[in-house]
Amino acid sequence: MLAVGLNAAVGRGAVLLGVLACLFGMAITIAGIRKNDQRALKTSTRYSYLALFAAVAAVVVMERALITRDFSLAYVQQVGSRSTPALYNVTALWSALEGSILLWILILAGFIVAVARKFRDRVGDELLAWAMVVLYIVGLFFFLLAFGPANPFELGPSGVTDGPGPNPLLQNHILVVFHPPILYLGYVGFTVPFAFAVAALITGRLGEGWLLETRRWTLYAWGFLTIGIILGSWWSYEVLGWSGVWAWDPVENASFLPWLTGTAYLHSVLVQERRGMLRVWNISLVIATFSLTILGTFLTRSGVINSVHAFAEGDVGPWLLAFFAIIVVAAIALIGWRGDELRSPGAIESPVSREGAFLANNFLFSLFAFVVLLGTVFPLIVEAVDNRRLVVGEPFFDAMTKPIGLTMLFMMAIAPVLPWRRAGEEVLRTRLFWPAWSGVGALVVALVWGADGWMSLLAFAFGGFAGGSAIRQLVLASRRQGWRGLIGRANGGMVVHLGVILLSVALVASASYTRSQEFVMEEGETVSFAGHTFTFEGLSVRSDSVKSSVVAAVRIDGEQIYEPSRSKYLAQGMDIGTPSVKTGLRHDLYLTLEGNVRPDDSQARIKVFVKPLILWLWIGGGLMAVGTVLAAVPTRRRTIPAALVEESTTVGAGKP
Amino acid sequence: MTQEQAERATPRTARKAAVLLAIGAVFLIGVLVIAFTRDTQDAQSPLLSRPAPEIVSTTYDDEQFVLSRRKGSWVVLNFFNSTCVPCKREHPELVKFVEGQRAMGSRGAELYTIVNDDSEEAVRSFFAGFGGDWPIIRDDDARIAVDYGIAKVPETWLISPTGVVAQRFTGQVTAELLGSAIAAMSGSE
Amino acid sequence: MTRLRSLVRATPAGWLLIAVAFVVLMVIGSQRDSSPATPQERVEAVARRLACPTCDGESVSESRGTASQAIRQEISRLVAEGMLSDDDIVAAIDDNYAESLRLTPGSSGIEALVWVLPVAVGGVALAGLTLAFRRWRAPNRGDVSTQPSEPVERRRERSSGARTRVAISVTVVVVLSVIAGIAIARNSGERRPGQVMTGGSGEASITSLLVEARSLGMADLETALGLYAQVLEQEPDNIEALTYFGWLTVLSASQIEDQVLAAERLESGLVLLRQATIVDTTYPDAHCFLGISFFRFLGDAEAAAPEIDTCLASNPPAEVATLVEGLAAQIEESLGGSPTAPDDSLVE
Repeated sequence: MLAVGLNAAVGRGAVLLGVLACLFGMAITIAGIRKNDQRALKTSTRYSYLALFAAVAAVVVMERALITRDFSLAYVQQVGSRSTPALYNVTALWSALEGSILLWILILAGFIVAVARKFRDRVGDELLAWAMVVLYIVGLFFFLLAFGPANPFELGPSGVTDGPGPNPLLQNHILVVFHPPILYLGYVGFTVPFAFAVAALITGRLGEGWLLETRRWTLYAWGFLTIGIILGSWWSYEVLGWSGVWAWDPVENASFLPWLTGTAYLHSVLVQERRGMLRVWNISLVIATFSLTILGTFLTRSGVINSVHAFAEGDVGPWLLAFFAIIVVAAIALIGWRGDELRSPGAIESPVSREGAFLANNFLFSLFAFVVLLGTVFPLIVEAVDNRRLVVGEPFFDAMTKPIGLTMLFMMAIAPVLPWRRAGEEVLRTRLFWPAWSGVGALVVALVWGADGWMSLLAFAFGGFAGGSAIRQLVLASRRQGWRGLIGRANGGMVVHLGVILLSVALVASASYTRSQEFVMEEGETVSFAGHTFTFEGLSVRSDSVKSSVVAAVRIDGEQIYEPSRSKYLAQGMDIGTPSVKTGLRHDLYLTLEGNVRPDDSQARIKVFVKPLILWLWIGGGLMAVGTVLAAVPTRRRTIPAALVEESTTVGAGKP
Repeated sequence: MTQEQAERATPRTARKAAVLLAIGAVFLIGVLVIAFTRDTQDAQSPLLSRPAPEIVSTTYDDEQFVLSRRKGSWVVLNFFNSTCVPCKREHPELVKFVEGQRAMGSRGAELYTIVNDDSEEAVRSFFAGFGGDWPIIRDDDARIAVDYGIAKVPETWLISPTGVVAQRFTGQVTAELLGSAIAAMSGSE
Repeated sequence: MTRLRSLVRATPAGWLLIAVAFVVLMVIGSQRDSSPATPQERVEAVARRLACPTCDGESVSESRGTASQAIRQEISRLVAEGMLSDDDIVAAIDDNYAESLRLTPGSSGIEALVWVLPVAVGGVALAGLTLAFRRWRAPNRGDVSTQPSEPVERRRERSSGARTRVAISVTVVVVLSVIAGIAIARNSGERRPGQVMTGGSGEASITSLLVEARSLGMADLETALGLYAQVLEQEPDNIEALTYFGWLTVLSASQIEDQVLAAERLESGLVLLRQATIVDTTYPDAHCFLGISFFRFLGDAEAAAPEIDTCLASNPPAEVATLVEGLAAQIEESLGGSPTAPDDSLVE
């Protein structure tokens, strides 16, 4: 009986501990800055360990409650169930709003401790101290959310002995284990460069120091966000049954927006490092990235915009909106105040230069982000003005973003060959020659494989062009440096570019050339479509504690059997279709079972999608991840910035 | 010389940027605040002042429900889903509304909840937990939602005793709002 | 270098070859037919343009909900018929629903803003970028500096002239961008044909007749009776028409001077009401009106009692219920006492 309230009490206590830890950490750090008290600054970092302990405790308690099916907690009543397999009960932690905030807190606390540890030798530095203050403030906000409006340890009505379990779509695929945590690592990771940017603004130390400190943090956060988004697409593809990978859903857009500004930042920062320019851009981009993560969190948890992804409940909306407003206002005020000092000493001499390309890049990514943001909140604007409901969907986003995407592909081809400061025409002509031929080559291959449509063909041509350019860089680098030609920022970046190109080409192909057909098949009947044969071999029933499924056996090309199904989830009463996919190098065969099927039916409605190049989406994503890791490996630095003592970061690196 | 000129050539970039960003941010936050605080709206619909589309369905108590048979009463249709936040928030108001109407005796309005695309168990347990004993109408094939053009719940429709769509509310409603709307329109009838 | 070799080097000739190859291949590719090959693909294409009416912003092609399945079936049917174009199918389905289902924002009105704004912002930003480049390039190009030797007034004049030039060019850029945006909106946005309200079907006309008759209430008996008669012509078993035609007939009987005619009218009204109760025993209104008629106009409390009981048990709507209010008690009272005289003046 004691255990009934125990989880709730301990959990709540842990959250409260976290609140206090962040509060005291923030206060003492500020006091230490004010009085220039080294000791205070040193002790203040200890509070981060306390916050981490609190976060871990809260998560452990909640997981324990979920695993032991402690239905005294309202949250467990909502997402826990006796009949869900253990794994999905564990992942139920992040399947609804309150638990997802706990996950956020855990990761944030982890990052705060990591920052405290990484920079422990420089603890007296004012910039670092202010960064810790910002981190503590963000941590305080989220702990307060978990203590107040999004309390996961709230006691539910007593006497409940079972629950419906997580949403069926969150318990039928292993990716539920990976996608949310990795995505959150990305989101939360951007808090760190944000904190340092704000600290730089506050202290007025706007040189390159803070940039370099956080370079790798930003890269990792970006990498996690990228992988998280791609895993989300993969999951959606495998599970939802409409065979698409991206729907321009508001929640998807919410995760894409910080990615866009984050990518722009990663590129633009190179200009600041090399020539000290574009500072206003960089500060704005890094602040925008973090703000957009908060905005995204608001949009998905406030009920303002409807989306199938949205967490369906909670009173956190006003809090998140207020936090977003505060961040944005504070950041703009800081930028305005320190504006003069941000002015860079150099100037871009020629648009046809690496700096010019990166500036154009910033502009392109910002425009892209603007389009996505506008499309996502436009329904709200129309509702506010015209009192009318409107949905802005795929047709708009496709039409608007395709030209921008094409331009970006083109830039990806040109920018790596551009030198700093100024490019002569001669240089461009020679360096881009073979990449241009590979573009033409890609066009030929596409045409041979049956592609059509000028926009898609242009995308393939530019993809080939950009790919040629990236490979050229890698080849040159490895000729010069051997295997070292594949690591380091520039080369890792080229690998990432290759991944992006693969992904874009695959996206274009699968978006433009998907074929589909629906067949009503009798048992034993064979149909052929798109060069493959499909034989329907009958229906069967499978059931377990959670669901009861009608499964159709379809033999493809006389070889293997694939089993699309429709399942009825007993607890929630929901009817979910599960597709079955045959992956291939050239295309995927995606099968779904349609309609209301009964196990004794002799016919089945089977829908077949032929999706070109889907596998290359995931390969491209993997390449991006590999490239990110390669880019993170430290290499010999060509210049040593003045205001910095570079600490040895990862193992095995060469130090200057 | 070049550097000075360059500095003079880019005056106050940061300030200009800050102003531009500020304008954009104010606009964005304003829209979000309006969207978030906007509770009930008098919504348009081509069905307003036209005969209400017929509803033939069964209730959760397995009784037949035909909308046209309720002519003579004010009928309030509330489109609901157990997972939508504003629906849950407005539910106590609906309970209050029903109590008020019942107190008026046989002249009171009739409230019906219409559920589409939701699990019966979830709805039942919601009503069990939060109160409310008025009929809940099934809409499993979405006919009703589609006929009325429901996009986002909650929506509340007022049907006059002559069977005409009198008003449509999108978003949360209050007992006060519904009661006064009906009273105003009854007076003019 | 031979001619051929010069083509595979980065010479102008080589680049020309690339350009030619590119253009030729693009032309070949663009000429190919890229329309949907199977009916299913056409259905998908149309479904991607419509939003599911009951979902949270999903398109009909993505959503697995019941409403989208219904719409997809409708699209399949229209595609199979083969008479309508994609745009027409979108319009046909969209018109059925109160809310707009089109996923592409419109080409005019406030919705066009979502097209115009990005283009306008993009154009302005691009112009700003060019301006910035020009400003950066100017100091570097002009190493031969003439400024210091210029008299102050001329310099001020030049700078103010420059400022006006900048202002003009900014305005021009903004205007051009907005125009470009509007052009794109017109091109890509959904054109909205005039809203056509379907109202020709028989079912709809019966409904509107009934509604109209109901709105007249008991204020204009003759017109209402005429309307109900029209309904009964089309649908002799329409329960509401039967009942209310009967009830209004009963009421109109009380207005007739001639006692004989009045009694006839009353009887015919009662016949209709009885018919209504036979057609549908569960319809409360008919029983209520029968009960009222028996009690008030015929003074027959015994016949009235069971009707009133059935009436109240069948959950009558408010208007009828208020008419019947208190009647049950009165009937009981009179069953205990003597039958009362028929009351002609009771018409509310």
